[in-house]
Amino acid sequence: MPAKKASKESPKISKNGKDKAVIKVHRKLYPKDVLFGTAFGFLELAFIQLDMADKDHIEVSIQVKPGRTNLSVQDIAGEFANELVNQAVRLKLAKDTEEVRANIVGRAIAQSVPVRDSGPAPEPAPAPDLPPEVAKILAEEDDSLDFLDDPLGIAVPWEEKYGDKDGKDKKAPEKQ
Amino acid sequence: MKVRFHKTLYSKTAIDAAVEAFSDDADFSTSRVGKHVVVDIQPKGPAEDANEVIGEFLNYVLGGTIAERGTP
Repeated sequence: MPAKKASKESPKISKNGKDKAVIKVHRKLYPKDVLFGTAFGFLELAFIQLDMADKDHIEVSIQVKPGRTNLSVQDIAGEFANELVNQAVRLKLAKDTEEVRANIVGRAIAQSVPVRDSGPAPEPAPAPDLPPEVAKILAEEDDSLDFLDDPLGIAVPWEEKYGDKDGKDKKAPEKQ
Repeated sequence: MKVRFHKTLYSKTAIDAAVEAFSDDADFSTSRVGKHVVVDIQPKGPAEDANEVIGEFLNYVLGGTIAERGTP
């Protein structure tokens, strides 16, 4: 039964003196990457030593650093065991999503690389349907067009073009 | 005091780096026994600090081994 097996193989914590605990971890359930990732997070709180208990188990000795925490060595060992599970899930997720992440990063990098010039510049895209007068102006002044030019009188204020400020129209636009 | 590092768990480079880093705090002698590297540590400072020196040495070796492996 899986539940029975899991409980048999879950990390075993034993107390070794007042400030030392030993956790026995199964290598197949918690690979070295998981164990190292977990141990790294506890280096500030405790002195940690690893050793092979037998061919299937790794023994983790945890000794609390004096004056670093109010937690007991039993609490830290418990937190360590929880973090083992956390890291194991993290590793599994990282493996499951490795391909997707590689694709996303690869695509982002590919899009950020500028296209190199190879031969003559490509033909500009055909202009969309423009009114004839605009197309004519664009054709005539393609290169010489300055942003200050206003061939269509767009920048001319309404009052100046059609009337004064008090509402008297000089020349009202015709409604169509 | 002697501490043992199993060769499948610890990197020899990390052990050597730690010995060098702690050479001001302790005297070291290293030997190989089976699958273990055994380091004999003799702290130079007061006896009450010996445990801390040895503990920090252990963590330094472990940290170095983890850094060498990189992130999974």
